[in-house]
Amino acid sequence: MNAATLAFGILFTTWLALTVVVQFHYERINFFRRFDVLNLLPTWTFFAPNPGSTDYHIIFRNRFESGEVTAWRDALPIPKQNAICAVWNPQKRHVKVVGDAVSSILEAYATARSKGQSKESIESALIFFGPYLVILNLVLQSAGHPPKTVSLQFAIVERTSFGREAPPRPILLSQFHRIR
Amino acid sequence: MSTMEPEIDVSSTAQWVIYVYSVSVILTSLEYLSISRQFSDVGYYSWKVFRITGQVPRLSARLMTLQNVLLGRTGVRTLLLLRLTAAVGAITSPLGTWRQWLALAMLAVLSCIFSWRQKYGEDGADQMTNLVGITLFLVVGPFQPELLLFFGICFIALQAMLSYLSAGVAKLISPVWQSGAAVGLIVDNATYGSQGAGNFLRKLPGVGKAVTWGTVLFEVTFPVMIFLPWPAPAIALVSGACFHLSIALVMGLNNFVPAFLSTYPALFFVSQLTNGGVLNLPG
Repeated sequence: MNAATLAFGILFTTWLALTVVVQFHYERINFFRRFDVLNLLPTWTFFAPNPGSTDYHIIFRNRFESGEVTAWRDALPIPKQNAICAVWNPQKRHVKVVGDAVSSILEAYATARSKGQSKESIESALIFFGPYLVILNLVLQSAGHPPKTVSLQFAIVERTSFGREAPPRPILLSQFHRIR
Repeated sequence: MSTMEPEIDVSSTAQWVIYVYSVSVILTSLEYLSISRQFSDVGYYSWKVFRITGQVPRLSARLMTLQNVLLGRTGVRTLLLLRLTAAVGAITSPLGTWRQWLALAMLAVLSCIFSWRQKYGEDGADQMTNLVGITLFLVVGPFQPELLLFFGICFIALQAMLSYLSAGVAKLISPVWQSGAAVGLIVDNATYGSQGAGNFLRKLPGVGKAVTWGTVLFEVTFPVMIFLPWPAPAIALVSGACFHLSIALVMGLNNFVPAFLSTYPALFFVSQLTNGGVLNLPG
């Protein structure tokens, strides 16, 4: 075995060991994950321990110069699954982006609350938070903003079991964001 | 050496990994190309937004300018088309040739750039595809020693086993999964299910429990089955393929099929090795 092969052997062993370590979601162990900008240390705990059993809907409404506000509309309706999706499903990426951004917002919100921050201070700080801007951008780029719109507001709404057992629950309401 | 012991060839294993990995890359690239307008400055995946999410390290002004050009809509479309071309090149080139190695190198680099770009929206299938791709780039080529190819194949197999074991253990210790309700809850929503699937499992909760516990047991026992005598490894691999196909059908997670099946030749290789196979390292 030459030196290069040995070096790669050590690399693979280290990579595997680090992957094992990050399966345990401990803050102190996972501090080096911030350096994993290329996502080479995957967490393989799919749908566990908490299975993803919630739909997140991003709804928005527009406000005109007159002060009139439109009804709430869905910015990015979740596409229906069909047989084609088993083979071809590019739309799943949009849904995943929403899910990732919302999960990050909820995690940050919970962490801030656990540290004693008030709801108002958290919500005012959220507008500087990356995932919040991702959601805001999604709303801005979604179709259907009337030309008279001067500002818009969005909400993140959580729904389980297609709303059969409980009505959808708003979990975040943004301020009105001026767009013109 | 007994004549009954099968010879197992790490080279043909690596070639099959490359075939399925390339299919995974082709599928993902085509899907992203079909929605590539979302990578524009006025799209859902605008780089102007993603780059200020705080997850992008600070770079010098020149590198930032280069980054902005490469990761805008035109740059991403070019990147995806190059990925597509490289994947076809990897499939059509003989193993261990410069042409194939250059194709794998392009795939590894372009996939890393794309991971950097897509801070949101990527999933475990993408991570497995990238991991396999980088490993192939490091171990397959005209100048890499054959022992290194062996290390790479074993690494891919071990990562695959870890993925199933980690997923299974995390489910095993979860009260929701232990109750048998998890799969019913997951498919009873629009994100990863449908009204039809949800209604079906609500009407037949026993089926839901069986599928939930079946998922846990499959994932936890998968790595063990690979090391057991034949036909246990075959049962594990066929079950795995059926598992991923059914997830694609019910939940729309189509990209997990080629991503995880690309590791199956490596898993088959390891199962044969641990079942008395004689390793044939070419040269």
